[in-house]
Amino acid sequence: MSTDIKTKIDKIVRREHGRLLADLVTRLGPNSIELAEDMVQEALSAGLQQWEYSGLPDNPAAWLNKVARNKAYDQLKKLNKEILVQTVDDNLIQSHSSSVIDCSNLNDPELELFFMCCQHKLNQKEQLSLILNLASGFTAKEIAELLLSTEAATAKLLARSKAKLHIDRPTLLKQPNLFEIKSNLKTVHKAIYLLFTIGYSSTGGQNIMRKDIAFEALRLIKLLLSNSHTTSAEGHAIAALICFQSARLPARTTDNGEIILLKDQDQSLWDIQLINEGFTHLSTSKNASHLTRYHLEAAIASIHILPNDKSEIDWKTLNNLYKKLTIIAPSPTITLNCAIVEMMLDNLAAAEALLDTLSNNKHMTHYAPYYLVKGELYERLGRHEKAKNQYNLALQYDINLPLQQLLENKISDFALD
Amino acid sequence: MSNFALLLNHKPDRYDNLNENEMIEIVKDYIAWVEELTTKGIYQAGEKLIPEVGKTLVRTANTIEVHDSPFTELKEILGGFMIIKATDYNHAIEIAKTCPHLIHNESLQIRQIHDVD
Repeated sequence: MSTDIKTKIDKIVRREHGRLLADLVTRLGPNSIELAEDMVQEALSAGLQQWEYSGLPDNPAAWLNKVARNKAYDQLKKLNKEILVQTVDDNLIQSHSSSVIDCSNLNDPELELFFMCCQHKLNQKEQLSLILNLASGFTAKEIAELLLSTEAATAKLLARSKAKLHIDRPTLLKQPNLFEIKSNLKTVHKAIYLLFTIGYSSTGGQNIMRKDIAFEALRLIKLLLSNSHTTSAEGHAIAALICFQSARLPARTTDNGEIILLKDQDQSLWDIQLINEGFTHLSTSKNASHLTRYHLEAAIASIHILPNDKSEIDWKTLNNLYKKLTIIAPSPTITLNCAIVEMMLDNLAAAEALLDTLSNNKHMTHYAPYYLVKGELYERLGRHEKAKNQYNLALQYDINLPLQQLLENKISDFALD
Repeated sequence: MSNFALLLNHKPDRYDNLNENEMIEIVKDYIAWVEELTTKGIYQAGEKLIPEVGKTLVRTANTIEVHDSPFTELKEILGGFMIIKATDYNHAIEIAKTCPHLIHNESLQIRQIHDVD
């Protein structure tokens, strides 16, 4: 019961951070992004502290929105910046009328903020980090985990990106026009993809996955697809991927939050409606001019979900898809997945060779799943002592509680050997 | 059953050195506790007081004087109050002992609310 409430609060904080900020930026004008950020922070802090005593209000979102708006207004008054408000409004009107398409056509403040963060003066990593931080409220630590970087480096990167926004404020943060929307669509796609990745497989903390974030990513991509300016085959591939993966969410954990491995999942818990939706998106995504990583990943997910006998997963096709993926989007994570597939095909030597190529990669050596896979490989090779060492290494890094319990059980089982 | 007031002492700098996530974790404990006792019908009401000294009114022979603060220092102020239902003081104490306030702050006071019936 109390866990439900805590999850609910997480959901409110995560979800509303982006919405509040987007809404305030729309109201105050994009030039006031820092003020808006401060106000959202204050509103969340004030809101939560009051709820300590009074419990959750009927509509927490509306409550927070009102507080944030009032706080922003008070702050502007306090700074005696009525002139600023006037200027901001003028700028807004100007940029609206000079755009081929103004942002309000996107009909979602959060998407608008996504595009605003995609200004060309920032490089892609800066854009992504900024989107995840400003629009979705993720911490430097969480972003670092996703972009395979360190917390300190990400914190610096965020500070630098915000400083860039500050310097170039008059030109940088204006409402995007049609050309900018088209040219930044790829970045927004990647941001939505990353948002989903966070929701689907957050390894940190006690919540094994933040379903609301996964579904938020689905909402955003569908919103893009429903708009004639922002729809694309690539977008459909992402939507397919998210549908397939989300469909399996209910089967991924037990009632106690313990993780269930794919091979042991109860398929009757999979969400059929989402699966069907996924296949519709997958077939629409075939109108693409070129194959993207999203297409391949959606295809991979579709194989996991095809209603075969669960022991009959088509690992051979998976292996082919992963090999293509290694060419299009090479990354240590993909190599790790290739190793898993080789392991499942019983090509244990090939799997070990792939894992060995990662042994000097400093991101992998700080990444719990790397040690999990190595542990499983050694377990299959019958080298229990080595497997135990790997599982112990995995436990040193940030992994969720259910997985931690699973590993601890395995380690104590080895001790009984 | 009677109503009891929990008067929660609060250190104004309690959240000062915490980052947002740490603060949210603490706050979650409170909200979860309030929500749980609400569903059990124990929790009746609660309000947070704005963390400031407030005003003290004193009547003198000719007038009513308004003072800023009865406090010489602000290490601890009344942060808010909660009203719970309990059979007696012992029951109220048992409930109050589970309040996250005793983990995240140091003290609270329990007072029985005068029931006219």
